[in-house]
Amino acid sequence: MKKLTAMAAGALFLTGCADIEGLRDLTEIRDTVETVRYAVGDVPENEEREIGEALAEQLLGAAPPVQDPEVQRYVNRVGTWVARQSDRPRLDWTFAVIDVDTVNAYAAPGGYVFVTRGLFLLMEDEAELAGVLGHEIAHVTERHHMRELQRAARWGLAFDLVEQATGDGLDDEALRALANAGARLYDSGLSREDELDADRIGAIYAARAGYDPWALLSTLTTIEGIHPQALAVEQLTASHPPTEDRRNILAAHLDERLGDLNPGLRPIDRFREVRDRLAHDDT
Amino acid sequence: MRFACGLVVCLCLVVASGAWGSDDRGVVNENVDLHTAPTTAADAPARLAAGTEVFRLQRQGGWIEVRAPADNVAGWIRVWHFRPADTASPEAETAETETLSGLRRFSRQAAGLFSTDDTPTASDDVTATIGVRGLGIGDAEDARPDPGARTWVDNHRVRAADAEAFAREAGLRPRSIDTSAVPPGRDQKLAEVQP
Repeated sequence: MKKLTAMAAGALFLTGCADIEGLRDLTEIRDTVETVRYAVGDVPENEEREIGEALAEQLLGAAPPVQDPEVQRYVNRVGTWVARQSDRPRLDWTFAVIDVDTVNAYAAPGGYVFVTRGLFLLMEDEAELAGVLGHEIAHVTERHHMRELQRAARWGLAFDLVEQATGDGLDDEALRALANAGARLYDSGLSREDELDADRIGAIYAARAGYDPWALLSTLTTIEGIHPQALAVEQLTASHPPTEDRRNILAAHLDERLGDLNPGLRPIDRFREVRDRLAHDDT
Repeated sequence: MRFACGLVVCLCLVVASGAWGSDDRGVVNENVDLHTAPTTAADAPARLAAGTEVFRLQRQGGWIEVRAPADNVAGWIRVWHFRPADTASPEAETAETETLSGLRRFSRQAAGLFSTDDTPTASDDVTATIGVRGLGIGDAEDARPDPGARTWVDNHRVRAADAEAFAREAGLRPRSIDTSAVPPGRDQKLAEVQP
């Protein structure tokens, strides 16, 4: 990264010197700066949202939302409440249950979070849902996917789209390329460190919202009970650290950090009403 | 392996209380050790088999004290090994709750339905092989984007005030907890010491 930055800085310096008497190449310089910024710097929040929208459209193309407004309203209420306690509370947080029975959850930049029907049905109470949503919210607040997309750009895997990101926002082709790169991330996964961070931060977001942060460990235990080669968890297994590792590491962290905290709440009844509804939608 | 070998805690007071709420009855979801105190360093002279019915007595951090009437033992287990019962009491099992149990079985069966050939699964009672939708590796990348679905999802966002009111209904209150990271490399060390 340092090398790339140094090369870019050198190129800018030379370009600047060559045209020092005129300002006509300022646009070119600005474009180069924008290109480098997309590869190594911060992406503006509105463009992060645009990328998230494109990735959400890609995911929803494969897994449509459950067509039940009550279910969606419930998951949005829980998710928004948790997200409001996160480090990026002002994003347009958007949650949805998607209509597939495999077990997984997904985040997209800008504030999109999706949980599968299969995972929802495996959970026992609202605190478990809050923990899962907290994990995905943490991926967004920590910009894990954005960082991976920028890494891909640096290695040229999506460089054509970076070249198009020259200060006027991202065009459709660039967004589609980014969405494809993001969809590949759902299969290959983020780094182990990012996933463990999301467990830790997500559990704390749930705790901030008044939920029992240990509930995420209940979900991980349930998932651990599914054979790792079962296709229901194939994508989850391929894209995350071993569930047992996640559970042990998160448990040790919570023991240390929150061992003395009032455990928090695990609302059951209203969660199970929605879970029941979700099951009946599955006909 | 011996289960519930030996009485670890005197249960007289526990049995006498008898006031279990709907959330206090459950089962252990794995074979678990019963510790004499809420720490892995404490002795664990008894063990419960997965599926053993227990009653929750008290909570301390990531630990929960349970009583297993059938084995006449009590002790501490990790919170995530307690699975609350689906119903308030055995007598309360209605058609509705049976449906809930059924759908949960369905979900677990779905996990089995997606298993690869000859792969043992967590589910041993798979009875159907149709009607299950999956999202597997490559599916999202190969999909045709659906802007209409994204708009539909966007339209179901809720306002912060709505979410806050919903939280209050359940008694949820925000708490101030920082997310400061553990030192680099700490996670791995914790993983090594945690059984």
